[in-house]
Amino acid sequence: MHHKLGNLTAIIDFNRQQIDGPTELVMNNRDLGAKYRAFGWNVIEMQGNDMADIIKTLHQSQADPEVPTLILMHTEMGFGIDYMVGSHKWHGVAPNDEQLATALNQLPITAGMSDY
Amino acid sequence: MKQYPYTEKKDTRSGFGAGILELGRTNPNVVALTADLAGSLKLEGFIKEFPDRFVQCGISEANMIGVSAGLTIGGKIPFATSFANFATGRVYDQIRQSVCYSNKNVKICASHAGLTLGEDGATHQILEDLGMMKMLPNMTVINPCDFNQTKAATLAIAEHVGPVYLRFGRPVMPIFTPADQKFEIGKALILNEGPAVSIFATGHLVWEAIKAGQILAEQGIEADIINIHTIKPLDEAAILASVKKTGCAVSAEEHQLNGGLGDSVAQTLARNYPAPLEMVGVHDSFGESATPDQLMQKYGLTADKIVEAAKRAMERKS
Repeated sequence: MHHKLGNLTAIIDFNRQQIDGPTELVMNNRDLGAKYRAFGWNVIEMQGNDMADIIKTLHQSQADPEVPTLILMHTEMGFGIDYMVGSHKWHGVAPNDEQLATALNQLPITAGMSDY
Repeated sequence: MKQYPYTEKKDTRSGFGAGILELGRTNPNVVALTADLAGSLKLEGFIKEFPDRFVQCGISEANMIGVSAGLTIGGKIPFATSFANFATGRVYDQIRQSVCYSNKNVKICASHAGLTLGEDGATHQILEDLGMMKMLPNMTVINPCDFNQTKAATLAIAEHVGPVYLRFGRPVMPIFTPADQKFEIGKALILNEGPAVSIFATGHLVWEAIKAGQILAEQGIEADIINIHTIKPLDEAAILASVKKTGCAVSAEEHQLNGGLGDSVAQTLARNYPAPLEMVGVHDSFGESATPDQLMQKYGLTADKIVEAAKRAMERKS
């Protein structure tokens, strides 16, 4: 705001997980949006696993030429894959071949494909 | 001993201020940033003429380094300024990740380095900055000796593409290098030639090395005195050529022995031409609050100590 950075948009991938576990148990951030608002940012929220909402919300950013925008992007780690969703344990682990095949079969864009 | 008369003393930080102002007039891509130290870094002239090319970051050095890295992507040449303590140790992670790893064209320009900061004391007197900066891949590290050389170095680093750490200071020092000098990064400057001992000095200690050379000359000892203004890349050819002639060496710097110029010279000699080396610098200690002269005396960063070191080095020659 001080530097009139209306053309700046920051996005926080807010998945509420970190490597030691859920954020609220490791070190609770409390209300991140309120913290950015206190520094003068325009804070809006969006659903990061919903492409239609992403496009709609990005168009709403940078509305004020003097105020930067913070998008609090709510996401689920492992979205769309039943054995990954909602858990932090895949933060640093790669799936094996069998798990990979299961995952790709569950995602609409790759489901049913024999050769990825 | 070659004589180095001077008529004026000025601080090296003012050489930076003069350099950045000239760059403002000659290079439209140069922008200046600071973290609440515009006055100390002598940026007033630049800010007055180029207010749109100055970014005041407030006391947020980490942010300043990140903003500088970002500005390079648009083709700007950011000069990020603060005290040496806050421009290096406080933001090592940002320099490593955002500047050096991605080889961004950021110039980190740091004043008030070393003990000659004086009364502000140990919390502000960094003596480890050369070591931290020289260890970083892609980083060029420069420590000029007087007003004119600092101005010339400031102009030169704008032409060099890549990260640079430029270190200078607060005390007034004799101006003995030419006003019209062309600064060559990585090129050591021979100030005196003699067969007895090589004295490699950097920054404020170059003047002490000249004074030491005069004392030695009065005793019939002529020394090679070499200004190593660029710590990295180090002019190994100049160092080795000198020591192959003299057979022994002294390093002198306003920095910890660990990680400084002497450390680099020792490595060069050990790998190429082992020879006795005595090191003048701070021995694994923090500074403290006192006048610059009192501190330089107490911590042994003086011409007399360089003379003593030179004699020790000469005695060790086999």
